[in-house]
Amino acid sequence: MQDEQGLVRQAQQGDKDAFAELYEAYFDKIYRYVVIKIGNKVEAEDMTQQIFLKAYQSIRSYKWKGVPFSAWLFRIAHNQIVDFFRKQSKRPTVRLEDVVVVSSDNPLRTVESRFDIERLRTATLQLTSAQQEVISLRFAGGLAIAEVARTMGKSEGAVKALQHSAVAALRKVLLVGEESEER
Amino acid sequence: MKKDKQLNTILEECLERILVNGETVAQCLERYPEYAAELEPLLQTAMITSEAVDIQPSPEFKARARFELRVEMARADEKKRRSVFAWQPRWAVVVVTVVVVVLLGGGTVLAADSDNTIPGNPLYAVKLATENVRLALSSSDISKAEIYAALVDRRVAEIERLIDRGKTELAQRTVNRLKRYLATMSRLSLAIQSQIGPGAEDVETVTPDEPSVKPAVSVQEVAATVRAEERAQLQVLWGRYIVNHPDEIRAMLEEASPAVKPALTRAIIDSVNSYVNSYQNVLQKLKESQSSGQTDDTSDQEADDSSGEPDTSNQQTNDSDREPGTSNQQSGNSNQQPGDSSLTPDASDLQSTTIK
Repeated sequence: MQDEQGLVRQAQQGDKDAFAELYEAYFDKIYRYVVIKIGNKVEAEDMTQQIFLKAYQSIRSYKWKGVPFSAWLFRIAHNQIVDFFRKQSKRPTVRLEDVVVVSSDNPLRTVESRFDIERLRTATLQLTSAQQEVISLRFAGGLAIAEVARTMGKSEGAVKALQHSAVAALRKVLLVGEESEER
Repeated sequence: MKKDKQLNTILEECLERILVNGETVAQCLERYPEYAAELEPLLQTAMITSEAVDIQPSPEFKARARFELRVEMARADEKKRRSVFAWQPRWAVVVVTVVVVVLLGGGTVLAADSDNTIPGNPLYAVKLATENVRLALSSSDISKAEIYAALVDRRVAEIERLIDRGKTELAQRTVNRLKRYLATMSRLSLAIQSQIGPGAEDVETVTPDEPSVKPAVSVQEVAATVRAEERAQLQVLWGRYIVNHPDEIRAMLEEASPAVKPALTRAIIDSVNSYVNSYQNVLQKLKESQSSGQTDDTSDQEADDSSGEPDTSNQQTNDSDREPGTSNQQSGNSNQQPGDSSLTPDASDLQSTTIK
């Protein structure tokens, strides 16, 4: 991919191909971030599209000023998710295990991973909000620690500490889950 | 404390090496033997997490999303261009459309724009694009509402076929699309009602004995008749959906195999709730406009009675499908999911993440 800053500048000047390149680079990451946050693939698809449309409509308002494009884009995603849950009522939702498609040709691995992502999502709900955000941005969104820090408005040191505590807490929750399954 | 800080950094360094550079957990542990006991379980958990989230959007969705983004980008540019050249005639759009249709091959477009083309079919994107062109060429809100009503019919037929073929995921997506159409119809209805205005009904109460009271009565009468026709048309459009489709879907449910019943049930709940919600919204606005105009027009109430008696209890359970424009009404009605506290803008957790 061409230099990201350059692409952003071109996209801001109305270059659709430049925006399309940014779109291709971030589409899967944003999608994964949304899936892990809302747990419904169908809704996640719609929301991923909305996020990029919003990004396209407002890209002119983006200013570098030390905030990477990824952080700006993930903040849009975050805001969309906030809106989603605000609007969400008691209507029945589709369970994650019903809808998630895993990137594997092996059906056995697919079944196994389906289980894993649902269990992972359930487990992350036990973490603090900041820990959940770090897990979602770092692992699902695939952001580097510096980008996570810019997205969350925290220092890199604080995010490293959060990552450590999040992974440790996640391990505890997963272990407890395994023990109760064995019983 | 210092050790913790070091471990934070070492964990991050190992994750970067493993996730980005492809190193193994064992290689990382070898680098830091003094931390190996603490590092190993953390890295294993991180690996499980990383593998679990390794999901990809389906190629079909990616292709559709790419196409729709291009359409939206073109539409956004068109909007901008129109605002600069507002005088540009509508026929220009027609000419461009005709040229595109000819270039694409009329046969292909006609084939795509048939009821046999359902989601999952490579021509489905062309079908949607054709519908968008039709919407773009419609000249008034009422004709747009009519097109949307026809599109609702089409989507219901597609849902029926998809469920029949066991394609529940595509059916759910089509239900979502259908919901968006209903919301748009709702918006268009509100726009039309606001054009009608609270005072319009007064004109209809003017008797022939009172012409001198309202000298412009003949012009107003004509206007009122047109508006009444529009209103009647709208009521028919709304009534058609609630009268026909839920029954159709329920009939499908009775015949459906157990495997597809859950998805079908969801489709029914989603579409009916969405309809009821949108319809109640329109009625509410109507009543508000009538009460503010102090008129005595009961035709909307009649429409409510004749349109299948939407269950208001359902309406209360579903606020989620309201359009963005109505979100303020429900800001005090937040129904957040368990564990979504991170999503609430929180000064301590996500300072400066809110860009609104």
